[in-house]
Amino acid sequence: MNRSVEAVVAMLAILKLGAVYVPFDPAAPDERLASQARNAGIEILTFARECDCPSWFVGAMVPISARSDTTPARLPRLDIHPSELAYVIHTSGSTNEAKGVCVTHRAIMELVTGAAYCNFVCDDVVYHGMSIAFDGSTFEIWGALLSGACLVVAPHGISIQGIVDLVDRHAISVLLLSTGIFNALSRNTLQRLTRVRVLLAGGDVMSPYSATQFLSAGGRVLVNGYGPTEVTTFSHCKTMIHAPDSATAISIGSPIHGTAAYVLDENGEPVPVGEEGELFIAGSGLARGYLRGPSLTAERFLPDPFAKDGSRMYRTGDLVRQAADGSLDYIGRIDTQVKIRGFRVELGEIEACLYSLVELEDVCVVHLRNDAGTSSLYAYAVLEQGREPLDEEAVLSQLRKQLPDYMHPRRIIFVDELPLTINGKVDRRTLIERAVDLRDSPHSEACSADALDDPLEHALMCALGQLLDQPSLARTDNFFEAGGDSLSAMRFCAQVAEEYGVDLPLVVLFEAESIEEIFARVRTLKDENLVGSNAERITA
Amino acid sequence: MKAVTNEHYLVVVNDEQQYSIWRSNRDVPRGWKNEGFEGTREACLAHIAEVWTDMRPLSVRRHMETCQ
Repeated sequence: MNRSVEAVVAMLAILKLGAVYVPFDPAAPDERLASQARNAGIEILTFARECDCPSWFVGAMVPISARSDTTPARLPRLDIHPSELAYVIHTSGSTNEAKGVCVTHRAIMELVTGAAYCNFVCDDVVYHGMSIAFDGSTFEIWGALLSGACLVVAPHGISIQGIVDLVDRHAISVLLLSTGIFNALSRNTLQRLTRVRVLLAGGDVMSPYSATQFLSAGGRVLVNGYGPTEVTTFSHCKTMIHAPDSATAISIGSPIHGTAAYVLDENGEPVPVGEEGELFIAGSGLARGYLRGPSLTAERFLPDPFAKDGSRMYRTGDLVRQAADGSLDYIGRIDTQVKIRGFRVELGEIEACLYSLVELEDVCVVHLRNDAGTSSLYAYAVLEQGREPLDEEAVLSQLRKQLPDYMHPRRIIFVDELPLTINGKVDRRTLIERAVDLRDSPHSEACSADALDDPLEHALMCALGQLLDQPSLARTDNFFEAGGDSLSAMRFCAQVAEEYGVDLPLVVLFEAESIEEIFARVRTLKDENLVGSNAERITA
Repeated sequence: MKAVTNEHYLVVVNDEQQYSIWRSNRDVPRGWKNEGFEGTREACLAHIAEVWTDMRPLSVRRHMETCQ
């Protein structure tokens, strides 16, 4: 289901039955949803009554309405063990399948009641803008409902302007944004968000620049949240009330209540303060494991040698450095997991998917990020010997049916062999360099911004080119096929609002066939604005 | 401690019947016991895939039985 009141009603109903909810984002490809539902053994699928009944599911389906005419006669009598499951959220796995992370009731309680970084109170108005398939929604939904606070459900496809309006209209006090969006907010927007009691951002590396802008504009509390899905939204938080030193990276802070963290070397020994090590997390926020994945679970959830009580610690795969005050600096990954628009992506999952579609000798997917923070993926593939050359576009379109949009490579480049390092491993660094060259060299003579005479179109094209990291866009290109996604769409709308005072609805970008159409819409809105302001002047 | 190159692992299990792996050259943490199987990391994980069929912690299994 999309984020909606119905989705929250469905979650409550499922938990009241003593059952487990497994949220799905309808934007994901049907085949992927169907395979996740099969793997999870889903018996009943709920959907919002006014939406179409999903076609990919075989089994019982229950339409959900936000309003009910009947009141249940009694509260359910349930005796749930704290370690029973509340939900399963899927996250990218390095095999050709997403992993279902099994989260317990206790972990949710710990996240919300131990939230010293936020301290939910019943007067709070909590913004709900995360996808329900993403574990940031755990914080929003259960933070509000378990505290008796009010939850404001943001409509699907909300723009940055829309967020600001909702914050004003409902006097939202707790606002969680994905870090990608937070980092992209303009100074004006940040200023307008300073009314919130606490602004949290999580899912990626926070920009010190944005943090400084928010806090020096009068923002009260800013929290940099860190935590893998396996540790239930947040395991660490850095709470800031004063603008940080903008030259240095923002730390991920210290563990939240009920959580312990260890920084260990490759032998499992604690590293000295100030040195790099892998982050291991223990405590009641830990997931029970991966759904139907005993060996995956055993590999990542290890005995906690420091607790001495038989409990486990989760191996994050994140490299960190512990400062003298105990707070942690995030350094990077030890494997090829990357973050795209706040989503965890195992490059191995895309590679495994390509292997399953085409007979390949070898494949390697690399991830690039430009200065604007926009991600793009490039796949380098070696066909099996003697195979006929393949049509890149055909393979890409097959891949799009299997993977969500943020996992789509921009290109698949067929090569004779992959470069190797001295150790005989695929040389990712060289491939990344090649991908950067490819990205930066316009591969067609098609019109770039410079070829546009119209100043408005020229400016808009420049902005799009930078956002999408595509120097050679054509007016006839489709925004999403050219690498756009909902985050870059939001950013574009925000830029247009900033530059031209035009509230370009996000839906325009989704509906427009071509960039040309988007430009036309901006022009119309801009002209209307002009007429509007003239009219006001006349009447005044 | 020197890095171990050819790593040898044990399959370990706790009181909740949760399985995991542990390097054989290190003491098994308190609260865990050696399950009996040992070998490479892959072999241990493959063994766990076979034996860990009910992934509910033991306390949850017991609780669910008494509730029925």
